[in-house]
Amino acid sequence: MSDQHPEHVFDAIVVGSGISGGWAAKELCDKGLKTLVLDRGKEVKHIKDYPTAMKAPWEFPHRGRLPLKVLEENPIAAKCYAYDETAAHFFLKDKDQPYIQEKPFDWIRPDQVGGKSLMWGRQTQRWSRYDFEGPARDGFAVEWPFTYEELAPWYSYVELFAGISGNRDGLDTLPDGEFLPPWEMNRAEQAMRVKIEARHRDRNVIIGRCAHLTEIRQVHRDQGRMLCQARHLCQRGCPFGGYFSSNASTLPWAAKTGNLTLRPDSIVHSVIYDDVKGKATGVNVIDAHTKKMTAYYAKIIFINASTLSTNQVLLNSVSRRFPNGLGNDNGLLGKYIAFQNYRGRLSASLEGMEDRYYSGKRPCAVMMPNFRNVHRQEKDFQRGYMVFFSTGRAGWGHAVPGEQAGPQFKTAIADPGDWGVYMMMQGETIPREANHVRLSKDHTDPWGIPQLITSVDYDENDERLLKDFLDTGAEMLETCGAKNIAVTDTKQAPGLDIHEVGGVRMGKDPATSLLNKWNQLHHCPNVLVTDGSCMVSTSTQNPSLTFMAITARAANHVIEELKKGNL
Amino acid sequence: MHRRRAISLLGLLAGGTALEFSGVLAGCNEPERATGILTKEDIQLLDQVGEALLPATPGVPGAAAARVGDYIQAIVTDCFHKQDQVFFLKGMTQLREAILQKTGGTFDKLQNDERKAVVLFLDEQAGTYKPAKPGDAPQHYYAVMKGLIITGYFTSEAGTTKALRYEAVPGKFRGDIPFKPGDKAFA
Repeated sequence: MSDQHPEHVFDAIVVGSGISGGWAAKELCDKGLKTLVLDRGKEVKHIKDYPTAMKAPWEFPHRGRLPLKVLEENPIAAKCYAYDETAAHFFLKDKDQPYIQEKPFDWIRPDQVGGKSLMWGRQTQRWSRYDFEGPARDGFAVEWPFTYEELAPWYSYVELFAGISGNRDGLDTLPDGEFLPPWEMNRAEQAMRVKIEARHRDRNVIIGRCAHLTEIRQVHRDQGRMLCQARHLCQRGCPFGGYFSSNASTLPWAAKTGNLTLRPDSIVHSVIYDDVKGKATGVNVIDAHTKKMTAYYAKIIFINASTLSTNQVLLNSVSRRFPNGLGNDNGLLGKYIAFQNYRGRLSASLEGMEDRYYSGKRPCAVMMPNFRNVHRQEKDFQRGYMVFFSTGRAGWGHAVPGEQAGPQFKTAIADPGDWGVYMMMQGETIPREANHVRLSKDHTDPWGIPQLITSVDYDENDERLLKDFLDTGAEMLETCGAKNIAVTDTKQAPGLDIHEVGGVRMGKDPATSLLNKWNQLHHCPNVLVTDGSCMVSTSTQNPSLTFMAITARAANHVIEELKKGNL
Repeated sequence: MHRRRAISLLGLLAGGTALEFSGVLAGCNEPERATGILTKEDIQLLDQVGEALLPATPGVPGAAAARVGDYIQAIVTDCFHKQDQVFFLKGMTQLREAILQKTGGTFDKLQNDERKAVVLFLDEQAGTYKPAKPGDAPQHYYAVMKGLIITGYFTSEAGTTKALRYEAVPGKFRGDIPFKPGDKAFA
């Protein structure tokens, strides 16, 4: 490495500073490794770079609504619920992320250090043993290379640091974690829980588990974070550090060690593989503004660029040894992409309870852990779905009887209206070889990197699972005495769930997987992948907590390997 | 913004003529209106229609003080598709025509109860409106105006903090609290 600029040499490089990259950075820096973290987006420092965080509704020129020009220039980002006048500056502009949708895929991407951890949904359930055992039991994808029991201590490890609120429900379909106090259900949700659980012994209605501080412990004080203030303006960045993000938590923690070098505006082109040494030696980085390419070197490299971007980087990392992408001897890199089925939505009105209300904004919903095909295959589709629902009273502007103008009208439409319920699904999808991404041979992005082609779609199983949710959801709402039940198939494209995973999956067998059980590339073990692309299957849970646990586990293992001289 | 400029000008013009003074003060009294595809007169009319719909009540400002006209200017100018802008501008003309037909004059000359009667008349028309032939607008122009006035009002500072209970930093979520008639909704 004599020709390498000493300032470009590190012990470790982490590509991406989102939820998993942030955790890799924290673990590596904590253990004394000089670590370079690269992110393609702009610098966003905690608090300082949250320009809208404390604005009142009336301080936005369009009160949150985005101008037509912005929406027309960003039709993909515009589909995301969080892309509004208060948070649009945290999303990558469509023109900066050209990709080819062989089949429709909404690729929602961030544009800053911290990645999507800044505007994520923050729901953080552990996977259950049924989730991990799914592929082996039902014969799809490959077997997970570790069990729930093996990951459980790492779940605890990341939960204690990140701060996860939840109730200890004692369910084997949704294992309890190291919880901070749970959020409350409102009156209508409590009533629905009683009715649903009385009717169905195998269904559980519990309060959501989320990465919000409902109690401050020393480890959170040490991060400079404060209690969640129940504002629910999270996608603007939280000046209280009330929810977990790389910006509020892992990155400043890593910086405090003195071992972190953070480079924003750094687009990783490829991993450098040294055919003589037989290992990866660094990464090629393009400056987002000058477009100048620079190489950085390290002993170990974490690729945590986000599911599809990690696939893109590895596919673009070609060498004599790996002509089809780094570690891709079996040709499976980019294949078995999966996501979660979010298409089913229901809404309905609830009668009564006019004398009950709630205050503050809760950052989570009510959850019903999967109750389909849990212990054995019993439906005409594989796997199952999580049900989320929440209830609330209609806000200002709801329809009122009587005179449609004047003082009484003004008061009546401002009063809380009737109770309503909103219900949605989070369905597991089966990873299939046909659902894949690959590099375009003809088109490059503004930085000269081959564009990604997405070829990912729903299948018959997804349609059956969706139908079951819509039927079952409507039945449960009827059980609860709900009226005006409206059932919707959003028909949204894959990707808008923002839970895409796979393409660089783990596994026991190098013939059928890219990564070993410690997230090292089978054929290039000093490169690790611990973001969504490493996942074997999707489960019915939100993915981020599992990314965190897998990352912490892999980082601590590879540090031991490094110490032993095995890399 | 204008007000601040006007006050500093007053200092500069301390030795100025009465004429100059009156000009500055006129500028000071007239609030700056948002610029866009609506005219100043359109915005004023929308404020007045808004006030008839959501009038000031004791301790709670109405739609005019909340400047719903400026809000509608921002939305129609920046957020509407071209065809919806055309529809809205045509709606402003139709609104004036309806007022003229109903009252023989302009809205600003009417007493408050007359203004309310016009708004109720428009609401009834909007409620029974059905597109007669292909190409007709799917909605009555007043339905769109009413929606914009209500949104503009309840997202304004006056509407948010006075007509509703606004907690910038709630501090915590309480899942089950009593509600009695007369309690305001949380913004």
